[in-house]
Amino acid sequence: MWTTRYEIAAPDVVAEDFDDEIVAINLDTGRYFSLRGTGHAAWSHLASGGSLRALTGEPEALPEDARAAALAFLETLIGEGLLRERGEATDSAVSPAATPATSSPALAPGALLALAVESFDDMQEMLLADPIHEVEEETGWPVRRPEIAS
Amino acid sequence: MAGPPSGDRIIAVGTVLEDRGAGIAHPPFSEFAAHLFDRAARAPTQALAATRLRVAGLDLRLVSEDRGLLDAYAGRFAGTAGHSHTASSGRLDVALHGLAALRLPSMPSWEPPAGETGADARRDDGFLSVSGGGYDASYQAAPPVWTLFDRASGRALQLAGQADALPPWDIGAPCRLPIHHALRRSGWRLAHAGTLGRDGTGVLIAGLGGAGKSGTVLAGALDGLTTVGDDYVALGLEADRVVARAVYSHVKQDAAGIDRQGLGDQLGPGDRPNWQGKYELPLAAIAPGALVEALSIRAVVLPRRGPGEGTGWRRCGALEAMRALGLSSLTQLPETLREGFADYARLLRRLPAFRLDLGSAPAGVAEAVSRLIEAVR
Repeated sequence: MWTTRYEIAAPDVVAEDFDDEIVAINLDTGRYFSLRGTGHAAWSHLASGGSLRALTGEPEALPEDARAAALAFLETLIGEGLLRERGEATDSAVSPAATPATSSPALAPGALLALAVESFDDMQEMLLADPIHEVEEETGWPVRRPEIAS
Repeated sequence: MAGPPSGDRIIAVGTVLEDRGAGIAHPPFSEFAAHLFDRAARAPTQALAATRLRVAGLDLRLVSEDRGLLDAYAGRFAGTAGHSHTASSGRLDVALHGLAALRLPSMPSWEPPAGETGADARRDDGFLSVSGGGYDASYQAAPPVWTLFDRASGRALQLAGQADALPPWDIGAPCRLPIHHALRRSGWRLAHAGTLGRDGTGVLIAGLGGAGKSGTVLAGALDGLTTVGDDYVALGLEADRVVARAVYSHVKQDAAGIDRQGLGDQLGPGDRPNWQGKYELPLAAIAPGALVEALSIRAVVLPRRGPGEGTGWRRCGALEAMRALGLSSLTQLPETLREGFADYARLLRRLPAFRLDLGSAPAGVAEAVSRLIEAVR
């Protein structure tokens, strides 16, 4: 988990960056989310392919509470279906600061304790009642019966 | 969960199905829609009346066999048949017909192919939307009404049992869906929000139903501020600035709000509350000069009923603004959430958001919004 790379779980998840806040919505669950402060920085890092280790520094060197907070944050993002695995990092021997796709510096252990994801489900029913049936643009929606489908 | 009545299925496209043979289990939606537009085009013109308006930059032309419906609709638009300061951003022709004008025996129905969409893809209130094949369309079951928009031509068709056999909320925002689809052709949209402004600059008033949008707009309009609407406005970018344009001419207010705003003497003996228990009042009559064509928008204001008499505001985050404006609008108008979410983010990045705690005194509401407009000007 510490060296795994992640990506936004598109197309079910869309996220927008408002400078000081990430607003994300999971179209599959109808839940939406806010990440601010260190949560914003951590999301930007993880969603662009940075590993958790590159964000926190070596996990063995972290205080127990900071390590637990970082893992809980990542588990929340995965559990809510916002991020998914992209594959193992290939630069596991490289220092965090040199990890590619990482523009953010590693967060200090104190900052890890402030990682938070606010989640909301008050519009879940309306958002899941997606009123749009998207049909095939070129042809409309012809459906051939199974016996003649090629 | 209601939907198009299965017994009437494919009436309008029966010929099309015969021509295509047994290989097609369901007609393409594009053929279904094209067939209805073709029938509308062949409606006897001598029986039709027409009205032209400029609404939110759209050159709107309404055609119907029902002159009364045309007059009722025309009275609800903020547009004018005369001079407009807003440049034309497109044309929208809406044909408003009953079944008889299209020589249909009953309401035509189109169902998504079995297995393609689940029952959960349809709204609980029997509202079905289809997008694709060059068309945007919506069907509502009670009373049955098709609304179809042809993206290529900018034409729309509203088909009801009789031209005026429409749901009670229709007159509150006539041609809402065709206008939304037509605006989207030019990068604009219909947004679920009110507005207040002064000297051409203003704020969006956003929130879910019951948040106090209309009361805030009405309080401001009665106290010298301008507006482009209290419920639905056209929203888009001009020269990288967010602009709102007026679409409709009336404001809605419940009896308590009418009393609070001192508007009781504006109600005539024939005025009745609408389906929501709200009165719909023409802004031109109750606040002359308040309704303007457009406002340059500088902020989003999210009202909520506060505990005290005074009204105050404070900055709030992007999520609150997205919820009150973006998600609220996206659940009101047929549009894919993915595209709509990104579009609203594009608009909201340009606008600071403020929470407005509404006090009980209308004058205090207007004064607070007025100060906020000056602060963000």
